[in-house]
Formats: sequence, C-alpha cells, structure tokens
Amino acid sequence: MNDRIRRVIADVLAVPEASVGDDASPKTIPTWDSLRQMSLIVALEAEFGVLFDDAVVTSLQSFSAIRGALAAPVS
Amino acid sequence: MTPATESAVAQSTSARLHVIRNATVEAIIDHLRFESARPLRVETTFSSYQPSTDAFGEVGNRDVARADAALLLLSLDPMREAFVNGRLDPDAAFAYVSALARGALDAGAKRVLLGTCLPPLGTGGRYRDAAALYMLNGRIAAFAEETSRIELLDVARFAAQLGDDVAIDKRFWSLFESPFSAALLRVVAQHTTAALAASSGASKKVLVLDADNTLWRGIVGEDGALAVAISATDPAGRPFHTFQRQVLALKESGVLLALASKNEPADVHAVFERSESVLRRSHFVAERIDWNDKAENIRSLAEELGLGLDSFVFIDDSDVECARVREALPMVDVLQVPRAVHDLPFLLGRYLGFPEGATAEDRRRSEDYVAARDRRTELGKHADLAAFVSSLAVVVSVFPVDGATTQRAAQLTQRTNQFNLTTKRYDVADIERATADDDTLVLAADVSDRFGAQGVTGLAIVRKAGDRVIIDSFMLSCRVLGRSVELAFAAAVTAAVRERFGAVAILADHRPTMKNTQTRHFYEKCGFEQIDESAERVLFELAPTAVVRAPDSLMIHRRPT
Repeated sequence: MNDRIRRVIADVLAVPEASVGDDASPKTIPTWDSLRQMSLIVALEAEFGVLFDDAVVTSLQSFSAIRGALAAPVS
Repeated sequence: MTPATESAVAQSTSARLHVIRNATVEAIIDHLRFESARPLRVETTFSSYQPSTDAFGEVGNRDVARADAALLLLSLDPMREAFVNGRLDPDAAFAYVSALARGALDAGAKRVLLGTCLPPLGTGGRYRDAAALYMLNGRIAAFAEETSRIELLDVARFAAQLGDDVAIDKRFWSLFESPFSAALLRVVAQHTTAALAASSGASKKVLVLDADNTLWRGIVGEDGALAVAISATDPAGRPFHTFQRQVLALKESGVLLALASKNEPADVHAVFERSESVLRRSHFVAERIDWNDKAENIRSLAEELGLGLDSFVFIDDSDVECARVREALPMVDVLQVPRAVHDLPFLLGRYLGFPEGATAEDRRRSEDYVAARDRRTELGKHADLAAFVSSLAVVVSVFPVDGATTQRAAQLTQRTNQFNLTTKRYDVADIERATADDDTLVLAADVSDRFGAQGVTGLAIVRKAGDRVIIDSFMLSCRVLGRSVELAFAAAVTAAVRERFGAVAILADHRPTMKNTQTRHFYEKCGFEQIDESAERVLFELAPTAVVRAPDSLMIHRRPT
C-alpha cells in the first residue's frame, strides 16, 4: 500500500517517486499546496476506491496521515 | 516546417486567460491543458476570491490587462451582492456581474467570456425565486449579445445537461469552497478553449456532408428519391429532419456547406426537391457526387473554394469513409453519424469547432461563394483576364475603418490565411486602438461586381515610423482574389498613405507561413523593390516617388480618410 500511496502522491504533485519519503508533507514537497491537496484527495479516492470522511479530508496533510486514514475503516 | 512558420503557429496558438471568480476553480487549469481540441497553450491567472468592481485599478490589474480573454465564473452562493433579505435579487446580482465584465474590459482584457449563474445551492423544482434566477441569466445573456467583446458562456446550461448532482460538488464546496465539479469545469474548459481558438484563426469554415444515411435515412440509389426517410412526421426521418435544420442554421451563421456523396448526381438532387427536405441544392456551395475517393474529393473541394483543409469538417455515417478521411487528411475534423440515429440531432451541439459569433459578412458568405462559382463560369467565356474583369464591372471601395466595421476588421485579421502578407492577428480592442492613433491608418476594402456585393473583404494597417511608413498588415479574403482586386487595393492604400503622410518611402514585409506562399511576390508585382531577406521576413520598399499602378479594368472608389 505504501508504494501505491507514494505513486499517487508523486503523480499528482509532479515529483519523482523517490522524493516522496515516509515523512513527506507540504513541508518536504513544495508543490504540495492547498490546490494540489484537492487533486490528491480525488486521486487517492479513485486509486483505493474509498470516500474519505469530511472530517478526515482536511487532515490528510502528510504521507503518514494518508496511510493512517487508508488503514482505518472508511465509509 | 521551417522555423519561421513554426513561430507563426506558436504565436497564434497561445492565449492568456484571466479567471474572475468568487470560488476555488483552479482545477480548471488541468482541464484547459487536457481538453483543448487543438494545441492551444493557455496561460491562466485568477482574481481574488472577492473580485470587486473597483479592484481592477489595483490588484489583479496587470493580469486582466494582459488577458486575451477574461472568464467570469461566479457562484451565486458567496455573492453577498446578489441577495437582499435572503432572497436572490436579479437587479443587484446583474449590476454586480455586469460591472465586473465591464471592469475587465476597461482594465484592458481583450474580450470577456461571461458565464451564466447556477441556481443557489439546494434549489429544488419549487424554488420560490426561479423567476429571479431566470431574469438574472436572461439579462446576462442579453448583455453579452448586445455588448461588443462580451460573449456568453452558458454555464447554467452546461450544469443542467450534467444534472445538479454531477455539476455541483457538495463536499468540495463545503471543504474547499469549490462548488463546480470536475465534470462541469471540464465542459467550461472545452468551451473556453473553443472560444479562444476561434479568435486565433483556428475555427472551421466548411462542412462537407455525405448524403445517404447522413442527410436522410436510406440509400437514394437503391430506395429511390421518394422513398428515403426525411420527414419530421416519420419516425425514421425525424432525426435527419432536425439535423438538416441544424445544418441550415450553421450555413446561416456563415459556415459553407458542401456535398461529398457516392451517388448519381440526379438522384441526390431529386431528394433536395422534396418538400420535406429542409436543405436545398442551392444551399451547397460545391458538390462532389461521384464514385471517387472522398479524401481526394475533399482535397479538390478545398482547392475549388480556395480554403485550407484545416478549416474543413466532414460528416459521414460510414466507418470506412470516416477512417479513410481521418487517415488521409488528419487536419480535417471528422464527425461520424452516431450508430443510434436518434443521437444525430445532438452531434453538432457537442462539436465546438465552428465559430460562435456571426457578422453580416458571415451570413452572406455562402452566397458569395456561389457568386464566385458563377464568375468562374464567366471567366471561361473570356480569353484574357482584363476582358473578364471588365465584364464583371468590379468596384473596389476603400475607406477608413470606423466603429461599424471594427469587428469585421478584427475578424479579417483572425481568419485570413492565404492572401495575408504578415498574418498578424488582432482583436477588436487592437483595431480600436489603431483607428484612434494618428500615426496609424486602418483601411478596409469593400468589393462588389455585377454578381453581387461581397462586403468588407480587404484590410490594410499602415503605421508611420519616423520619416517612413510601414505596411503592418495587408490582406484580402480569398473569395475576392483573381480579379485584379489585390492590385487595386494596393494602389488605393498607397495613394491614401501619401495623402496622409506625404511623399514618403513605404516599407512592407512578407512573413512566410505555410499558407501565404501566393503572396511572396505580391509587392514586387506592385512595383516595390526587395531590400532585405531573412527566414522570417522579406522586406520591400516603394520609393517616395513611385506609385502603384491600378489596373484599368476595374473601378476604384476611395472614401475620404
């Protein structure tokens, strides 16, 4: 799952996969802005076939938060 | 492609778009990049979230001023100005929206694409303020119709076609203030790109139609002209009847119609004689009804009409014919009649290649081409060109462009490709600036002969630079060529230049493109001398004492400059 997340993030933020580390966040990837955040949500939901809860969406601001949300049961 | 034509192409296919919005719509950038029908590079900038009608003097001013088009994409919900006591107030909302549109033009945007407004969120079928909403959008539409340089983008209609649940992204509206869904933004982007492409000279001008199972149901050579289905009262014919009406409306807006059918000509003509047929033989400017290859026939239609193949659209029901034309002529847009024939009336509505706006010249274009065909018949009767031209009684009127002809002048720069010496594209704002400038002369030509008037079909822009003048642009619509009109126009333009600026040397350049090869030696024919040549341009000069001799076979009429 980590690699799939990494691939989606790299794709949406237009950066090499190698630059998406486990600590990836808007602090480590300059193209990760609030607008790309929207595209990222859409891309993650499509990739994993899920729909994040509204409360979760705004918190998905790092690689680990995304991994956590996908590991937890979602609606 | 030579480097020169490459740069000419790049120049005409990039555009700056400034989006005036009150919600998050940045995702439209991806759609603009992805959905553009042609390689049109769009650079996009955005207003603040609370665009204010007086903010154009401060922030955002630079982006608006540089914009080829400003797109007004507004949501009613965050628009405080639109609501009075919680209810939509059409007057207040319209005042705000129209002030933004005018503000964008005043700030320097060349044109405005004005979006209609979606219903406020949660509006149901028994919406109490429905009248207010329709009134607002009606006024927006009328405002766009009657205001120069403002064009309608019916966003509410796009949303209606998608359905509320698809057009509005409730979750993203709540989380990111982004109510317009990806699906809606994609449609908006498609229409925006088409509008931008139309002003860069890339729009389509000719519709070539197959006949059997495209204009009617059935095969005329087998079923007979009276048996093919074409009537609105007949279920088999109904979609074709509606389609024919749409095709006729396209012709009225200036698109030329041509036929490419594998048939006996008499059979096809007989169907157009039927009273149920909306289309008549006379609606078509040219036809190829024979058993030749259709790609070759389209090529020969392009030659006959003097138009580039990239301005052609072809519609046919056959997989084979469509594939053949797509392969042989990739620059032609090919639309296939849907397998489910009831989808046929929706084919043209989805296609965005034809230009939206229409001038008087557009509406008359089809008749002009028919007149041109008659002229060619006449030419056959005369041994030499001078005698032929005399027999036509051609009159070329040359006059300065003013308010009434500005739109047409801009359109000529955008659409003329073949007889265009420099192929510089200008919009209405550019032309207005040029006509207001004392050191610039903007002259148009109006051509008529005994077969009819052809309206404003020539344009020249001349600028004074120090003690010399330079012809910045010189073009003629190809349907007036071949009757010495080009020489007559050059004679009138140079005479007007001398009248305005004195006995000065006149410089002129030819900038080669893939399409204007026929103009390479034009200035030499007029008596100019070549003084410099590079890959991008050939420079000519007309000495201060030299004059361009006008042919005697036609009349030149010059209205005061």
